[in-house]
Amino acid sequence: MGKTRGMEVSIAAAEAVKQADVDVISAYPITPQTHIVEKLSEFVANGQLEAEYVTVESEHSAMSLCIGSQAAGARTFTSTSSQGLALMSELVPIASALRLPMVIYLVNRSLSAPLSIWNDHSDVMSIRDSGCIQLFVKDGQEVYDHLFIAYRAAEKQEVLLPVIVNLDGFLLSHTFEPVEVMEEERIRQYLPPYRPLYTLNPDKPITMGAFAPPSLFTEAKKAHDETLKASHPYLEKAWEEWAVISGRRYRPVEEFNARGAETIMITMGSLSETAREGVKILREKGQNIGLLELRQWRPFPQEEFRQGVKGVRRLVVIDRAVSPGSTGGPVASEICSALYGMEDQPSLENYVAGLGGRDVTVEDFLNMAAPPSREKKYAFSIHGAR
Amino acid sequence: MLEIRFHGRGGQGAVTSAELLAQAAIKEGKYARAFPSFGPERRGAPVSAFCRLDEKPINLRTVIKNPHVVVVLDPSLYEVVDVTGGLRERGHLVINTSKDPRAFFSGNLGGLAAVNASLIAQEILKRPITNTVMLGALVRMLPLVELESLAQALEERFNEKIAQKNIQALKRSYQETLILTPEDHVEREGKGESGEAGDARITGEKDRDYSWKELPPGCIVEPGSTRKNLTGDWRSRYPLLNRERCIKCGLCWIYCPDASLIRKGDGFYGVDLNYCKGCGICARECPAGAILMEKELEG
Ligand code: SF4
Ligand code: SF4
Repeated sequence: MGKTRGMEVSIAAAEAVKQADVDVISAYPITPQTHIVEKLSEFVANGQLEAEYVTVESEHSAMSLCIGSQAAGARTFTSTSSQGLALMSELVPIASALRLPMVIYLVNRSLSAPLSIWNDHSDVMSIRDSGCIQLFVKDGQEVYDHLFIAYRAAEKQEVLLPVIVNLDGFLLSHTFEPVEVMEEERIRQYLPPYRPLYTLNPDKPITMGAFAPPSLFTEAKKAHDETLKASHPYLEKAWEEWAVISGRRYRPVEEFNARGAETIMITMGSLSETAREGVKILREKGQNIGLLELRQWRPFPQEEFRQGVKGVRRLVVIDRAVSPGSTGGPVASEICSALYGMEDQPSLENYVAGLGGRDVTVEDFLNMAAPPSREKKYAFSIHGAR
Repeated sequence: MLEIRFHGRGGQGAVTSAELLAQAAIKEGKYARAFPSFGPERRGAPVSAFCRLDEKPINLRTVIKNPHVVVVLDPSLYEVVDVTGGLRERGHLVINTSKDPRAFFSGNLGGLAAVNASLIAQEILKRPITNTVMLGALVRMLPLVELESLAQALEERFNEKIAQKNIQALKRSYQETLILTPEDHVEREGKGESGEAGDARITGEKDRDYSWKELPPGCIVEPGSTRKNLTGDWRSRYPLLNRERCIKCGLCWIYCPDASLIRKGDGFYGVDLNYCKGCGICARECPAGAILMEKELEG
């Protein structure tokens, strides 16, 4: 077992990167990701982490560099937020299509405009279809743990895909809380050195990122889609193995009081914590309600999800991003599609909450979970908008 | 669960206070979370930080609106920030003051701890950083964590020399803190002047809560918004102009990044304290040494 210490969650993330013996880090500082990369550059400067820390002039260059270094066989890490991801986004689908298993810590922040440095999930939703594995975490311990889990799953030769770990800006990144830091030896057992399948090497030249004519592009996309879906059991395996060494078991869909519940709330990221408090209160008041926390956003855990909502009458889905012009938030749309064709489909109420740093309180959850005055099969609203 | 709010100015270590307290509690096997007021940080601007303490794991990621305890690191804040805003009925207040603390007691406080933290910090740390000093006063009134756990948290966080100085400051403030309880207050009730600290003025006009239908397309802002948005409360020092020395060269006026120096009819310059941020550029650029930066005073 490791040692539990109070630390800022960003520092816990940097600590994990250090322990994972990453070879190359390249990032451009942007609020609220800054504390992670500042700490990493300090580790490298002090000689506490033997890695290349490459300072660049933009996120576009950071991702370009990460692609190059990962292609050369180096375990690579980067981190960004919001507009930083937007600038990076030209290259993110390339990293995944080239099958480069880097880890990206995305400290979620809303996309401008209006300019906001606060949290929501609009940044990650803009690259939903980038072909990366996308996970959400809800507290400092999960932030720390998932660095190892991400590399462990990503570097499997059957996977070889980038993993984006989503952690809520400020709510997680800037909070100081207890985190158990694992012993280096355990980490080394869990995460063996990275063995790339192919590398860019002048002695054994290969081409990466070649041209695909119409006769091949479809097959390339099919292969990518199948690989991403097939990464699911490797994620499961990585979580299982992590449980053995840490005692903490993670699942693609986490359940809280969900068995046999009539109403289920669905959340992603740090909202899940406060939502649990809401569920506890409602349970005490006699409402048969539970919570599903969606950890694995891509590949979408269709089977686990359907299992989790079986027999449920009513779903309350909380999104933290707007999909302007759509019929609901991105998570709700995904869930509607996952439910399609299921027998005894539950009704679904979709709320978008917590945009641009607006606080989502226990009270808010109580209000959103309260049975509607008139039951509808589907409803959508932006919670709390005046 | 106990919720605490710290008020300080950017650079004074309010966040460090909250984190040290959390670390001390975690060391004792308790649960704690500390966080800043999320947003841009500016040296000298009023900031707040928060701490939650509990015997059980904490499951909340929300703002603290109704703290049980408020700790004020900087005496100049009583004027600009509603420090006791949202404080619970019978809540506790910890203040840094050189004045008679009885003036800060209001009827619904459960207790008040007062210490001249600025003095202790200046004497021991040689810097006006009051964060650890205030923790001594806090735990004197409410034994949330052992003094020893705080000392350990300090030792982990700072190098030996700085840690020892801070521990010394912590212990001295623990000794020198004055505690007022509602019982002490009863005798003074007749004066009716208490509670002033809580009714502090807030500079600038609060943003209106627009509805989505009222927002202009693209959320444009009409000119003149600064008229309502007074930014002078970010300041922790202000420029004092000495007319005897001033040669009316106008360099201060040229260099001030906030257009806060105003030329008067007689050719001398005055400072618009509604906007001056106390950056000190004018004092630095003045060729005649006519500008001195003075610390904002309490009250
Ligand atoms: S201190 Fe700075 S803001 Fe204030 S008057 Fe001088 S230059 Fe302007
Ligand atoms: S810079 Fe100094 S001397 Fe020149 S006008 Fe300002 S105060 Fe006077």
